[in-house]
Amino acid sequence: MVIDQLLKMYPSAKVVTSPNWNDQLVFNYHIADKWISISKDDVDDKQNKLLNLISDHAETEIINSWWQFLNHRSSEMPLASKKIDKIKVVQFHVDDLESSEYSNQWIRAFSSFFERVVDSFWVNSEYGILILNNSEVFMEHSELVSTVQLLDEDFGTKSQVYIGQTWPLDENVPEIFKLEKRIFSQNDGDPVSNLSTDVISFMFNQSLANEKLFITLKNIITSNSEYISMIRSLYINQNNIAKTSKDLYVHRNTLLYRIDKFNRETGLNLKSMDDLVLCHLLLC
Amino acid sequence: MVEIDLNHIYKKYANAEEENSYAVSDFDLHIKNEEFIVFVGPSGCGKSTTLRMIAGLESITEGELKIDDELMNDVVPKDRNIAMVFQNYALYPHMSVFKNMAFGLKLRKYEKEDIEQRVKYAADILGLTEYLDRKPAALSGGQRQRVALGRAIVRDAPIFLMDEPLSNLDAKLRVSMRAEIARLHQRLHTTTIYVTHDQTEAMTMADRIVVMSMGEVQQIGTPQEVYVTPRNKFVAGFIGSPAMNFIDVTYKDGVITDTEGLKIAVPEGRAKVLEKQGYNGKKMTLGIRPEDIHAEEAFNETWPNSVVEAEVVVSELLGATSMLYSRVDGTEFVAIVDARDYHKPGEKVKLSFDINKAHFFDIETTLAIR
Repeated sequence: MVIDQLLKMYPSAKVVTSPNWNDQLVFNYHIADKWISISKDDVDDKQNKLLNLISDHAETEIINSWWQFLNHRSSEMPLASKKIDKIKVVQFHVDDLESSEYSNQWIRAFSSFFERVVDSFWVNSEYGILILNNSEVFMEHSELVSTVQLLDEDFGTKSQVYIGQTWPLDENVPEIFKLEKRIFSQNDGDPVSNLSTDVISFMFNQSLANEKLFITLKNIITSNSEYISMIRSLYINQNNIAKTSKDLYVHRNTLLYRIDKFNRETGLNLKSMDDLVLCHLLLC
Repeated sequence: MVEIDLNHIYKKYANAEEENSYAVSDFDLHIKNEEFIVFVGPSGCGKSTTLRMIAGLESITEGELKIDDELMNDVVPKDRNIAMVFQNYALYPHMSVFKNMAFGLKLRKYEKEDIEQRVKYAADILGLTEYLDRKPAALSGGQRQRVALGRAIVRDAPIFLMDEPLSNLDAKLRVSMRAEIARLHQRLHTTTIYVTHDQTEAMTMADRIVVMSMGEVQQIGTPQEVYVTPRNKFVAGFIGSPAMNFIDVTYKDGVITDTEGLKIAVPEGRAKVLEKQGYNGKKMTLGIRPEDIHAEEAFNETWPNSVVEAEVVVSELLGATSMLYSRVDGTEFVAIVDARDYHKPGEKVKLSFDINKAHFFDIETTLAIR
């Protein structure tokens, strides 16, 4: 109802699934469980204040120097960066944090798991950043997952974390960060993700997923739910038949029979890594 | 007093490929107060997803979750009064054991004295009192897992959910922690749901086991029930170690045969059931546990029509028992026999199948024939 009225009042406004914080031309408001982006040209100061009052997640103006640098809002590198050669940007999205008091505790607790934290800050009430200095030794994926579980249990939150790559600290970082942000924004619910876990599906979804050829092929290979679990497990186990049959709790010969059957039905041979990767992509 | 009802629960992920592709289908279970329930099944069977729906970490697509008759579907995790223990047990690296256990309570604004009392009680139960000032880095894997359990105990929640909590421990530690968790349950009287892919953990710890496969419940029963009277071939094969032997056979007038030359008489009582169910002259799957294949002479003499002459392919001496991987022509199976009946590979051995304890499964439906 409120959204409908706002769309009438601001014809340029758009209801979006998640706000693009990078877009300097719009304000983002979270109203009636929906994100609405409105062009800054259409909103004066007074209206912005009023809209922020009815929005439960108003974007705050982040003056953090790292945030400014990462988003091309400042060409100058943060003062703290002078002794830093390489950085790693960790992004986090936290749902259900009760108050700003808990926000501070959450970010302190999360930071305590990392070494060489240069800076940590919230961008808005749900999204924040950790800047790490040249972290050579890093936690394994499972350790990161358990860290997020620990925080979620203590704070009653639902969190997702994106671990950026380590990059040389230079003028290319903002452009790189822009893409890392886009990849993170498309995470479909994994508590911990990174470039390796998300890039293939990201690229595929960006360019090919809506092509008729791939839609048709996907429909063929997903016609049998047994095939879906078989493809996923074969991919995870790097085409190792013994490990996959153990995972799926089927006899090795049963798995080989299914692979042959799949081959007869689709023309794709899952024993070939090329065909397996293609099938895996279609399931992304 | 806490009872949990899962009424026809379904879970479908937003990105599920097919219209009817559910990660969990029609999960229906009533959990009694203080019961220790184990969800067991291979990876991807939906057991952790079900646990996470109970915890509120996953939404429920269809069905009702009730705790003490109160609908929980839309209640946020922190308001469900549930304590969870995970497979990977992270602890805050810069906090002592005491502070790690106390942190969640501190956030929930518990009184300082109350926190201290709870942490000391949990530490006492878990044998962690002398480690309370240590940092996690100075603890062994087993001690860290105990701290993770302690974090759950201090919550004093009536429901414990445990998601493969012992998977990361070595085999020896796993056995001792298994006993510790069982003791803990007896002492704390919590209603506990424990997820594992390890059927030994399920058999040794559970009051009742829920066996799952492909998102569906295959059987719910006591360890004894699922072991002795498996509902279908999947349960029969999953529960028991080493796994049950399966041989496709044809039953005809009191005898089962397979295409590889196996021929065994079926005792009258079992034969009557098969014939009554209309299986005379039909194909079926014979399931027999390795421990129900005997090498003792006395057994062979008593049941001469159940005896087959097998060739040992591989043999393993395990101390009190031996495992004989054997074959009769093209039919292969494994038998657990007394260590005295150990045979070397290549040797011939007379083995008798205890058909009274065997299981028969329909070839198509895989359901047990009873």
